[in-house]
Amino acid sequence: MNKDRRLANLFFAAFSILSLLLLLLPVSTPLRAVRALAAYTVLPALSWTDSASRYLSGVPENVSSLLNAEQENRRLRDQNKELELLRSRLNAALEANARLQESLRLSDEWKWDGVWAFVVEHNRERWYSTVILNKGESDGIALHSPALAVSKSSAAIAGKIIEVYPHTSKLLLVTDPMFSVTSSVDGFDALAEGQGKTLLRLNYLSPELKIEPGAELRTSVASPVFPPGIMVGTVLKVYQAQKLTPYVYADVSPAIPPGELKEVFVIAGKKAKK
Amino acid sequence: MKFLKLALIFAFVAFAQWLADTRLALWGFSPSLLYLAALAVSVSFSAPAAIVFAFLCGFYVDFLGGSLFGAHALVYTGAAYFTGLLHRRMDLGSLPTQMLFCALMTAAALLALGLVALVFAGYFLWPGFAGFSVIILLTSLLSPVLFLGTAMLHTEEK
Repeated sequence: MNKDRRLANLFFAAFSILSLLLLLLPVSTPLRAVRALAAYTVLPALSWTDSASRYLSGVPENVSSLLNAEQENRRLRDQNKELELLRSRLNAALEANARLQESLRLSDEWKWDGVWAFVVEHNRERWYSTVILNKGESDGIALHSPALAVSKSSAAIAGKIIEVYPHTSKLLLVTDPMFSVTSSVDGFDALAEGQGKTLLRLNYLSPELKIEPGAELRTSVASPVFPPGIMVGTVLKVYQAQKLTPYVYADVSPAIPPGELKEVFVIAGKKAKK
Repeated sequence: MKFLKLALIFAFVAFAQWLADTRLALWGFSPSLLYLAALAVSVSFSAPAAIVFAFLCGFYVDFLGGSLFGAHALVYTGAAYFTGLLHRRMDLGSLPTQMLFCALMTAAALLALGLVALVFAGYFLWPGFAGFSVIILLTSLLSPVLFLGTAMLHTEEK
């Protein structure tokens, strides 16, 4: 019998006796001490294991919740962007609505008959030259018809029709070099001409005439195209007569800058009396 | 080093037993992993170390069990001693032999526990036929895992 076997026999006998003692003396003082010692060492470990297990068991749920929150967050962000876009479109629509209501209210008071048209395209190469309108011959627009717009709650000239198509038309703006209109300032007539830039030039003013900046320029009765009294613009600066230009001329700010033109009223004729 | 490995096995199996009892019980019954560990250690480690290990496993089960303090310690110690004697005479290396051996030893342990209870408490401790079958089945099914793990640790020592 080798050493290990002898030791095994001895251990078996010892631990069997110990186990029998445990069975025979379950409430003895030494045994209670052993159990108490075991309780102090084992039970906290089990408690910690249980706590850790409970903590870890919540991890998948928390991760899932986090992922759902992330997805929800993305969805809401996209929704927020869409709503922001919608809001800006709504604001633009409200602004256009208010402007159009004002225009309609004013046009009711006007004594001309005509048609409202939207500007659908600006001339990108010559911004101050022409725009395309969404109304044409089928809507009653004729060649050389004058077009008005609303500026500060009153009518102002926008230009005149130079090309007419069945459903669209081209409007020559007041700022185009080909545009001119006989205008009246302080009771005197002069010729307002476009220059291909933001300002108009008022030519052929008499040197004796005293015109101050800020004077309003309106269409003259002598204009063959535009009705009289329509706002053209405001005098910005007056240039005195020179040798080469023996007349006074002035820079004029148009009542409707081309960039602000959204819709125009194209005059078709006079309104029939009710 | 041997005791460190045995401590590691004990800690791992105690945790697995707790997990099986609290989270993975099948119809209220769980495999006797600590008993299985005692058998596996008896096959792989030296007989004295295996007997100490088996006693501690049984003591641990008794401590958690409450009733008949010492019954598991006695049965596990006996099982370890018996396995130490037997494994020299039979080959426990193959998987079916391990499973069969564990099934028989688990059945013997359950019956032994019943008898110990009959002697010391006056009643035969019987988990019911279903419990008896499920415990034997689960324990024998898991036996290759523990035998393999224990053998791997022991191989390093050799």
